[in-house]
This record gives sequence, C-alpha cells and structure tokens, in this order.
Amino acid sequence: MSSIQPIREILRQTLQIGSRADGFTSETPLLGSIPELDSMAVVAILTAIEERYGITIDDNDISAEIFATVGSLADFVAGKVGG
Amino acid sequence: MVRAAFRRLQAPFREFGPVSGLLYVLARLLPAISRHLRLFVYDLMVQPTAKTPLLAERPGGSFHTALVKPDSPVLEKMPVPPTVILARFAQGAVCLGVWRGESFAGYLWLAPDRYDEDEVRCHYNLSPAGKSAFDFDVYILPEYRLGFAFVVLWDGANAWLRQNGIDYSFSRISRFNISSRRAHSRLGSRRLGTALFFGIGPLQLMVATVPPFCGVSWSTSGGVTLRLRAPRVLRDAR
Repeated sequence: MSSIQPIREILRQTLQIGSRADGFTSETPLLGSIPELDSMAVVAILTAIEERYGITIDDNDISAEIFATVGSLADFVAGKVGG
Repeated sequence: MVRAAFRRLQAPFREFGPVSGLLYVLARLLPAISRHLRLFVYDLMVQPTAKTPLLAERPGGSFHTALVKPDSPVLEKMPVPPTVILARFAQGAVCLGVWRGESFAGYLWLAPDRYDEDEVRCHYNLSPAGKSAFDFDVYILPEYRLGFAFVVLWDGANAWLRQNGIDYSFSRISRFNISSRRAHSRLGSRRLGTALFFGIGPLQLMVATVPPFCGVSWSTSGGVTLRLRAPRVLRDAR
C-alpha cells in the first residue's frame, strides 16, 4: 500500500476541499463520490502530480480505475514514480 | 417507500436550492403531463478568451484539435440530427474537433457574433461586435471524459478565438447542468443573467434578466432576440 499523504495534499489543493481531505483514507472513494472531482479537476490533479514528481502521465494510462479511491490513485503514482 | 419518494423529491431542492429546485421539478413534470408543455432555464455566461493555454505543452501528448468541415464523416458520430448540423453551418458556426491519434474524441461549436438557438426559439446578439462568439454543444465522447481531451479542446477553441480576434465567448448553460456549470466556472466563465423559456404548444413565453427581459412568440414567428454584452469589468481587463 502506497503512502496517501502526498496524494491527500494534492487533492486538498486542487479540489479546494480544505479540512475534508483530513479524513481521507486509502479506501475513500473518489470518482462519483466527490462532487468537485469533474473532468477539469482530473486534469488539474494529473498535472499537479506531474509537476510534483517530475513525471509524464501518458494519455493512455488514464482510466476510471485510477480514480476509484485515494489508495488506487496513490498506487498509480507509486507505480509511475517507481517505474 | 414513502420515505424514499420523499427523499427523491427533496434531492433537487438540496442540490439547486428552493427556487431552482422548484423550477427543476416543473421542468421534469410539465413534459410528463403533456408533450406540449416545456420549461427551460438557462444561465447566460461569458468568459474571456484565454491568452495562454490551460495545459502546458505535453511531450508525447496524443490529443490534437482541428476544424471539422461540413463534409467530414465525423459529423455522423455527433448525437445531433443532420438537419441541425446543417443549420449550424448555415448560420456561420464552426465546429472544432479533438482527436486522440486517429480517434475522434469530441467537439464544440463556435458561432461568431450571433447564434440561433436550436432548443428554444431564441437568437443571441453578441457585443462587442467582431470580438464575440457563442460556444455551444460542447461534447466529449464518454470514453475520453476522464483525461486531457476537454482541456485540449478548449485550448484549441481559445487558439481559434485568438486567431480570429475574438475576446469573449458567450454560452448558455442549463440551470440544472451542474457539471457544465462547474466546468465553465473553471474556465473563468461568469454569469451575465438568466433566461426562462416556457412553452405551451406553439406559444413560447420568455422572461430574462437581460434585454429585452421578456418576449412572446408563436412557432411561425422568429422568436425572441436576447442581447448579450461583455461586462465592462471584462472589457477593461483586456
């Protein structure tokens, strides 16, 4: 299981959800559960991840599964950074 | 069961507030009562043309935009009747498409200076003339909604607007389309006013918070013309 702390901060800043992000765990559902997470927000999160980790996320890598939960997003980032 | 029905009835009021919630219920209820009844509530929006791209140049980015020509086969992929598409080209609108590689991913339409609505009988006259366009029917195919297609499409649209000297893009969004309102807000859009259209058979009544504020039309007449002007605060900022 990857650390979710950096992802939590990225979500807090890009979605502007403040202290709501404090309660996020790996199991917290994202897509379809957080109203602020629309297609524009997804792009903002992806570009924030790219800037923070110095990686490039390929268009083909993006899927709904990645944004299923906070944990799945953290795992995706860990895979990209590690890979 | 009663509790579930009550929760369903409450949902739009929680989502939209008391006034818009009531309008939402009416907009759903009226056509169910009679196919001759209809209600549309639009927020009228304007956004300045972005001077720089929303998305930084991406190495290996596979999306690109291009104008869709009137004879393009991708027009058949749009969930819009061919007669409506023909009417859009006839009024001078342009269609901008976005592709991932060879695959068509979505589109939007831009109409310089004026736009003839195809959902209600309404024409939008835009000013300042020569510097205004109307964006409408922004559509991304479901399989491309989670990714860069939407932003690349808007970057392409802003590039086209800049190339054509257009500083402002107007639009109308259903009061009940929260995702579209949120997306426009992220693009820097601001609300100019609201227009409400109520139809009974051939009769259409309109009330709006922008000139001419109210209007009545029959199906045989040309409909109402709403005049939309970019606010001074946006013009001063250019």
